[in-house]
Amino acid sequence: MDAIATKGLTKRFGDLLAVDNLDLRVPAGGVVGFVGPNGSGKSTTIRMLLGLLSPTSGAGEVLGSSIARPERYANRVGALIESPSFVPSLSARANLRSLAALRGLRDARVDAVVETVGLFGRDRDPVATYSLGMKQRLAIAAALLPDPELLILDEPTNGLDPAGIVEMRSLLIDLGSQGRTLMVSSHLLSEIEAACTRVIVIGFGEMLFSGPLSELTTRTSAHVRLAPELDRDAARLAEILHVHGYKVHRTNGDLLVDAGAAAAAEVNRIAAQGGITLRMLSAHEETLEEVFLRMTGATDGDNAHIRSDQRGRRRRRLPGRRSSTGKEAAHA
Amino acid sequence: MLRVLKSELIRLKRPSFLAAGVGGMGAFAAVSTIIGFAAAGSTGVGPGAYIPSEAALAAPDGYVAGLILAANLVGIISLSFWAIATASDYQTGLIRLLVQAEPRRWRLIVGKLFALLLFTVAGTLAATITAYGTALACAAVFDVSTAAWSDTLPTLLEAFRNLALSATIWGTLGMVIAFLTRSSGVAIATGIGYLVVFENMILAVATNASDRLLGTTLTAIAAGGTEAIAFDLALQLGLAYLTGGILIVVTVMHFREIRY
Repeated sequence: MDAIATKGLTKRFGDLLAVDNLDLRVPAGGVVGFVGPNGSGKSTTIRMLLGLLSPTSGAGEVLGSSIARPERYANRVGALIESPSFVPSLSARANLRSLAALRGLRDARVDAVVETVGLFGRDRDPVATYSLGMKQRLAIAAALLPDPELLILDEPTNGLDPAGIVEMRSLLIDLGSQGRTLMVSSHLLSEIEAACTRVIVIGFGEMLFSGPLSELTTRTSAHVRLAPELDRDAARLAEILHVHGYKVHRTNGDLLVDAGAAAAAEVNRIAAQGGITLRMLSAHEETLEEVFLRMTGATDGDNAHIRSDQRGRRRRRLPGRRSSTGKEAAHA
Repeated sequence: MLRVLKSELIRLKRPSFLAAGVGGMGAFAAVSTIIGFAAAGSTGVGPGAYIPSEAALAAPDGYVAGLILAANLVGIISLSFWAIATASDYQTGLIRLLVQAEPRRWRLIVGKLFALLLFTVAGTLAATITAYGTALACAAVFDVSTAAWSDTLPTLLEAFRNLALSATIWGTLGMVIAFLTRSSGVAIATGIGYLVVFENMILAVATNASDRLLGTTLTAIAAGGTEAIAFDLALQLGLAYLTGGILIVVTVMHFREIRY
């Protein structure tokens, strides 16, 4: 059974199309990354899944129940929604007790979650005295209160320093190893990729990719960049490499060869055999983050006016924008 | 519902809230009683101000005159408290966690309402007791005869009931405005501005409206009836305002999109 499934989920705020016909599938078990630039519709999607927003159209299910009836799964789902939200003058423990009472849970559960997130010893301090990292951990403690089958964490690494991000990542891996389903959203794939087994990429409210992280990894590309000593040799070098079966592109006077780092030595040899001396040769392997940027575009999704223009123009499909579910996505 | 009530009470029971709310109501009752005894019989104290006469203080129910004098101040504290408790859910973002944990939103509203009602009852009880104690002390200090003071417990209970009813409706007004604006500051300013300033302006140009307006209704409830409005009518109007306010909040909450 899928932990989350949506069909044509759409949310519009006036003229702004925040989520566009989203078909989402999150299988039960494991850690799923839900990534996209700021303003791509991640938080809106999560809010619809949790009953905070109602969809403009489309449908969805969480743990087998319709998102139109969130009360049916509320006690099986824990969530951190955007930023930690607590009464600052109350202690962490009092805040958690208040939320536990709302869910009909005993105080013993508060002890357990405080222990899990490592806040024991500071749990009686006012939340106002907490660092952002501690507030994030407290928010995760609140999400863990119902011992949820499904844990949805919206930008849990937001505002954390590098050490905090590493700590959060290890907490996510721990939580993911406990048999529950984790859906973790982030605008930076690099921050959560170490914890994820699957990844869903959205941009401009549309799904761009959904599948195992390993499948996204296969979309990374590599190239060797080279330049002949004499510019007039560039065309001849491209021809020689083409004859040897390489795909070559010209860019700013340099040549780009679609090949991994291992081919650099052979490219160099081929050029030498052709009597061409290279003044530059470098190999580059695309990172997952670069794949992510290539898919989502370099534009910050919060720039709604740009987005609006792009939505009007786009109908052109770019490489790497076909999801494993078969949904096509277009992008400008 | 009890879960929501318990959850709300944990959040309301913070020392600063209790001191400002319950303590504030008690303190205003005491100060108003002192002013009532000190300034008894004064005239020309300005529009909307009521100072009991020496005869009223010496009457059988003279010990609650200060409490009636404090009713609007207690109401303002109640309005502020309800407004802060409601708006802070939005200002801190806590509403996201609350609605996620209890998606039946009407329960959140009704639970909060009962929690705030308990607080208001505690505050007005503190105000009643304080006002009575202060009245006893002031009678001795200002040489007011207490020979006619009688039926203490029933009269105090009735004054407490009236004050609690009035403060609850004040509070509901604060809750409604805070809920609609998501801001305690706006709610407090709007509520007080309307009841203390705007309604007096309305009364200045439409004196026959005094038996329908919220402020005069609340004053009449707290005082057990006034010349303008009999207690029964004031109570009916007050309950109508209360019910209308709750219906507005429950309806808006049901359809509200939690975007922030």
